[in-house]
Amino acid sequence: MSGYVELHARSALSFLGGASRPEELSKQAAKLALPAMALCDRDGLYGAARHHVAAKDTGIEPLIGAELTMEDGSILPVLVATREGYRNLSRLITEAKLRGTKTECAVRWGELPAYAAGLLALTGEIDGILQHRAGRASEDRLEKVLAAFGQGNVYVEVQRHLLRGEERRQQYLEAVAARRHLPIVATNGVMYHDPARRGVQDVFTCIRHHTSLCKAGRVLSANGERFLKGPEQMRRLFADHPEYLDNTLRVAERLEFRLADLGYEFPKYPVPEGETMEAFLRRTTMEGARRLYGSGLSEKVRRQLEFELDLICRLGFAGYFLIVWDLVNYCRDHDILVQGRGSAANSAVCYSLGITVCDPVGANLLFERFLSEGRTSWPDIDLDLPSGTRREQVIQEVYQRYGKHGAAMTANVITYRGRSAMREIGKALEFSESTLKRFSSLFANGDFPHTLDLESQLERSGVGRDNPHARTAAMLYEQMYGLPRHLGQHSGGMIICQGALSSVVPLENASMPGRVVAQWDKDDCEDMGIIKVDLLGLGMMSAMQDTLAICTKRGRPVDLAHLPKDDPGVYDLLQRADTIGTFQVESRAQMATLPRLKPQTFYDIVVQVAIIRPGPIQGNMVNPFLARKAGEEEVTYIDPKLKPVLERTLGVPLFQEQLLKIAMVMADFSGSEAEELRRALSFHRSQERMDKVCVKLRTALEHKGVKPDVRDQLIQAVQSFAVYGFPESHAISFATIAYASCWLKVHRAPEFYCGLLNNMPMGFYSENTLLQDARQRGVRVRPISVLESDWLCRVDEEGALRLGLCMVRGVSADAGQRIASENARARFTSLKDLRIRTQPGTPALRILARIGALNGLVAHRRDGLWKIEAPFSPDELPLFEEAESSPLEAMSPEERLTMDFADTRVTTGPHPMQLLRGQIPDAVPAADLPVCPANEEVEIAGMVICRQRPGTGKGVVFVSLEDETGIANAILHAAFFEKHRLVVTQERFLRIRGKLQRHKGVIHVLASAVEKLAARPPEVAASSHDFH
Amino acid sequence: MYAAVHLPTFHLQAALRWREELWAVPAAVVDTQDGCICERNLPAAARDISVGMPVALALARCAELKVFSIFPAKEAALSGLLQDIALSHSPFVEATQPDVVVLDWRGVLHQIDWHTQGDHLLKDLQASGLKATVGVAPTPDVAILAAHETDAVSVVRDRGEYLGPLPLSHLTSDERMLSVLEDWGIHTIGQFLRLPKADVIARLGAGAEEMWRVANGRTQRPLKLVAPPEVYREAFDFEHVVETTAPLLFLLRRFVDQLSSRLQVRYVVASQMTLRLPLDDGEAYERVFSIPEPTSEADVMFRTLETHLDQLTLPQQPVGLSLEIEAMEPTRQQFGLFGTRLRDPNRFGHTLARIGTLVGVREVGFPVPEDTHKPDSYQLAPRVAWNAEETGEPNREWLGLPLQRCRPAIAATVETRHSCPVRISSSLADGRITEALGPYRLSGHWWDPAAWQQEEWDIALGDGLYRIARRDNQWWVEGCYERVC
Repeated sequence: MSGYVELHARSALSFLGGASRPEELSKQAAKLALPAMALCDRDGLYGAARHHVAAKDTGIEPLIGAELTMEDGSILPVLVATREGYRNLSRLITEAKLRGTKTECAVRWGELPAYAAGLLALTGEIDGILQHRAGRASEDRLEKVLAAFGQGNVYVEVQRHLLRGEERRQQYLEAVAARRHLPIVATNGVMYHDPARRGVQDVFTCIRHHTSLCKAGRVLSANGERFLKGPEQMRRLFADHPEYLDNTLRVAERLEFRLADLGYEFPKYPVPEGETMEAFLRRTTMEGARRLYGSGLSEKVRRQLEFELDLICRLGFAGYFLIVWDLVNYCRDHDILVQGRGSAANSAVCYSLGITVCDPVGANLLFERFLSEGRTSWPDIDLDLPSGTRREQVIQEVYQRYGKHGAAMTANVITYRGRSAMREIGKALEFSESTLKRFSSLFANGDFPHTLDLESQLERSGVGRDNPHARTAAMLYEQMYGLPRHLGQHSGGMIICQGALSSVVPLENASMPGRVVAQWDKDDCEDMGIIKVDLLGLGMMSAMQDTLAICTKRGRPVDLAHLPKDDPGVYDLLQRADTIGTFQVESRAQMATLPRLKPQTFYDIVVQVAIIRPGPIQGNMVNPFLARKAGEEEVTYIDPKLKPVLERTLGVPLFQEQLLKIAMVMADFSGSEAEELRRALSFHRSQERMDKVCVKLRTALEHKGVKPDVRDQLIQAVQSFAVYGFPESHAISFATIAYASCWLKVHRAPEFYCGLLNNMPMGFYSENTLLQDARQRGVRVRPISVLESDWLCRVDEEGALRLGLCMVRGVSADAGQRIASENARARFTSLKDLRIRTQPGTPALRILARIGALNGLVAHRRDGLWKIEAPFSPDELPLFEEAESSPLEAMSPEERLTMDFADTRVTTGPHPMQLLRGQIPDAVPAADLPVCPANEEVEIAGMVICRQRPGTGKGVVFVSLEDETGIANAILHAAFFEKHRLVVTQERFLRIRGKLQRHKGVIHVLASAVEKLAARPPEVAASSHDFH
Repeated sequence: MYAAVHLPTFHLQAALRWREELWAVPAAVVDTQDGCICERNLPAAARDISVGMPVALALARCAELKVFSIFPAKEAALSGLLQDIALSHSPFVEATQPDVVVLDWRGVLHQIDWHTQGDHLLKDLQASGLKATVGVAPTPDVAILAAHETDAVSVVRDRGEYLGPLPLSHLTSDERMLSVLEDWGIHTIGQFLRLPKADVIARLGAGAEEMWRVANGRTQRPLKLVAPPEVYREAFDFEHVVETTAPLLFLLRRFVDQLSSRLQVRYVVASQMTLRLPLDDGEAYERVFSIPEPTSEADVMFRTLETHLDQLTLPQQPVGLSLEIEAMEPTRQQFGLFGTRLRDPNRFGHTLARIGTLVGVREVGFPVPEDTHKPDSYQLAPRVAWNAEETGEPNREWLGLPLQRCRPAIAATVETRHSCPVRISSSLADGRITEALGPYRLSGHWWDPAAWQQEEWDIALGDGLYRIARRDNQWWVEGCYERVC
């Protein structure tokens, strides 16, 4: 017998216990001609799904196992032999994980027998059951393991890492094996796929032990022998005991289970007795369709519904649609706004069931984008819900229905990115704290590709190229970037299961109370055929729901479902790019495009939402579309056959559906091939998958005789969409919300701003920018007052926006709500009255006095500050009469502004720039820019409210400066930005000089000089929206 | 009158000490806790860098800014120097803060010109490389305020007029109180004094009363005096060069007797002695002796010096002699009933000193294994624990036969077959290898230039068992387990 199977490998998904991805291990295993490899991550099956998927490509057998931390600290590796074993292991890990905190897991010896069936046990390595505090305890542990797993299912594990002392340990293990008649297997206890990763593993060891490489000493590995070794290498190592390697093959033969046999079933929907799920779905859909389309369904609608229902039932997805429909009904019954998004909007069945709001038949949407014959995985139905408590209510309802072991959030594997990777590397290499802070501050552009290379960034942080650790840091950074760091939870993806979900994937507690999270992320779940319902929170949904409630309360109700789609006010607002606060069309880039696109119809908004995305931008589709829309360029088609596909977007492909249709028309792609293309488009993790499908498309186009230049254009379009492209249906869903938000801004401005402020933080702009915008629209804004304000912002009877106590930082929700409710019950008559009835505490009163919220009870802010410091006891008369005025002077406007920003981040007084205007006579106010001549040098100055550096913009940075008249935008080219990087990213107030550019209504200043504002602005703690 | 000396930008002065040229370029000290600037020099201030600013923002404003961290050791030395200079101007000195001292000048004649007196003090400080300010006032607290507010010497006569415009932060460091007063719009001592005293005290408590006391500038307070450090030093300059050790030993014996009795009077013991011999060519020979078990016994101290001088050869004849003793409180130790310790640590120390004289001081010490996988890595520690209890747990892992190491390792030529050594040739081990166990691979410090790796084998020859290693393709005999002689 020859060969070898690695039975004990850990991946980086053991979180600090391994330094390679499962995919890397799998690839290396195939390269080394290993027929199979068992992935045994610590206390979980975190990497199992990826291992399984990777093995499909590499061709190795993906064996599954896990290292279990036992209650005494020893480690017991187990391998999955059968499906029962897998279920047992998953449930056992779940039991242990749900018992402890997020990071704890300890399996009890007593519970092992109940879950041992279908599993094989190894004795482990240095911390294994035989070597962890060896002696009498190890014999006892072996006894327990043998009792649980049974003789014949336990293997003594021997490893050789070329270290002294291993012979002695091996002698001991061999003696135990002989005494107990146990077979011995050789493993390498793999921690990384390649010897070069030893450095990363050592850094991980330092992180685990809170130390540095220099101080870690013998905690670090003695050599780099924990890499994946091939059969030949292992045979050389164990030349004296080839039977240990032969035994690995025997064990591998016993491990029959593969994740393909997972046995996952989506829950069945409880239909009325005597009815099938399919019939019930059909009946419910038709009822809904008649309600929405009218009782006489058109032939086109009927045909589409029949087609969809047939397909859904044939693929066995009826229960899924009913369960989502049921959840939507729950939301409606509990007054929670809900709207399906994503490709579900392509389905007439979803529309008829009320899951989505746009008519796909009328909009001529491609159903195949959602579901097709070739589809094996579950379709995606994502629900948008108001963020915050209302979404949590829906999530908890799902837990309630399916139990703690039956539902879970999907995981989100947080990986080491720029800052986090360098932070850990820097600590390991003992870089100073200030160096690391400098490095991070130079990373102000997040993780977008940026123009400052790593060495320069290190150099500017104080780690020069001559620093002996600079090269090591760069090497480690490259290796560590993208490796898993910890497990978070997905923003809204929930998975559910017929029976216990914990038998399918281990579950564990999330950091957030009441939440349980699965050990797989959404892509893993999709790969394993586990259905996911995305319950996504949208701040705008929440703001709109609040807005609607205020409108109803004020006697101006709005029915969102029946808003006219041709409101001239909305299109005027969009064409003027007056969109601050609205959904999806408020970003700086959107605002720069709106005056060029000039939306006139709802479909223009759909295009507007989709066009400012990396996909269309990188595919160079934006400018041709805008030129064609403006009539400046002739509408042409890549091929005449594509006219029906691209007509609506003037010959320019903008949506994923169009890409699929192009593939079907031009390359004769079948439903399943289109499905493959769809998956490649929506699968962000794998460039490889994308490349593969592009090769297939190119070959098909060649066979069809498509001209080379057309082929290239089509392939380029597909590749651009791989980065990020919108499905049309998704754009329609978002455009619906965008339109509604614009309509509310135009027709219900005070209520709309009020809804926004009560749901901050959200969107692109700060509270203060929203208030500036509100005031420029003529909304009266009234300050926070203990006599007038509620806890939340509200619109008063005169239509003015009254800021709420919730905006005050430093006053607890409890104290704030008590003040508001007490005042509502009986208006405060004096400061003393307020103190007696609400007892908010002096610190809270100090803040309220500082922002003027006590005005009305005191003469001015400082009078309040003086009075609240007086000794006070609720049972006694105050030592000082409140009527007595204080000896303090009232605050100046600058002081009031500073206090407002410090404690509320907004002001109802003058804008900070208004106070500085006299000191900067050369700076042109934002409102005057439209009348300045183009191409002339101008100077703008203001508070930075937004810094953007889109990944598609070749390093160009966009900066928005707000002054008392509006917002001025500047463009900084990459080289210029690098020269002034810290000034641009760190200063709160800037002065920018440059040439004024005006193009089709869009105004920018192309920066040629930037500096901090010399005039000293008040100490304004303003926040800006940076690099998102 | 009292004089207060303040060292402005104290952290920066400590960081830039001996690097005068850096005062001309923007430089700042950063607080490593919050990453913000805590002090900066004038060129940095001219570039709009302010205290409390994040270091990244400071670098945005001035890319060439030199950024330093706080150096506690340097600051302690700076404080010590400040106190020394102050003590040379008054026997009564209070070390108020690390960067502030107050001198009691009440004994000085009234007709003196305080400005001139202050100038003298300032010149002495400047001569020592300190950037200082001096305030002279009728009370210590006002003197401190004056020192903080001036950039040279300030003499305060009218306290009220002087204090009025000063910022409130001079009166208290209580952040809460300062924040309340800031909110009230009260920024200066003058504004503070104009508030109704009783109302303010009722609101702000006893702290406000204390502020009032200081703000009035009338209250005297006793200084918390620093005692000048006791110096145990004896010195002698010879009229002619000394050619033998006898006169040196004669004098040293007297020095030691003298210093010993002074130590005993103060109930302290000597922990270290510094012997200094100025030489004929203007250079000096200096040697520091650590005393293993601090003592005040003259015989013990003298024996150490005598042993050293017996072996000493100097390039030039000495023209002088000085001996300085560092004193400490005697340590008290409760010995365990069965605990053993060195019978006479000083005698042991004395023996070590003699070895040191022979082989070089740096070559003597106690080998302490380093925390590394690198074989045979150890450091020479100057002192090991004298008690058995302090020596830590022995390494319990027994890995085979004891190895007699060759230090340094012996170069060898090794013939290999299938990567396995089969024959060796070296000055210690030579011949056909009958059995080889290995390889054992070790590597470490991969992250810096001190990276190392080696492969070890245990081999059997006809005459014994050896350990060999290969580093950078060179073979070495590391040691011998057993050998047939």
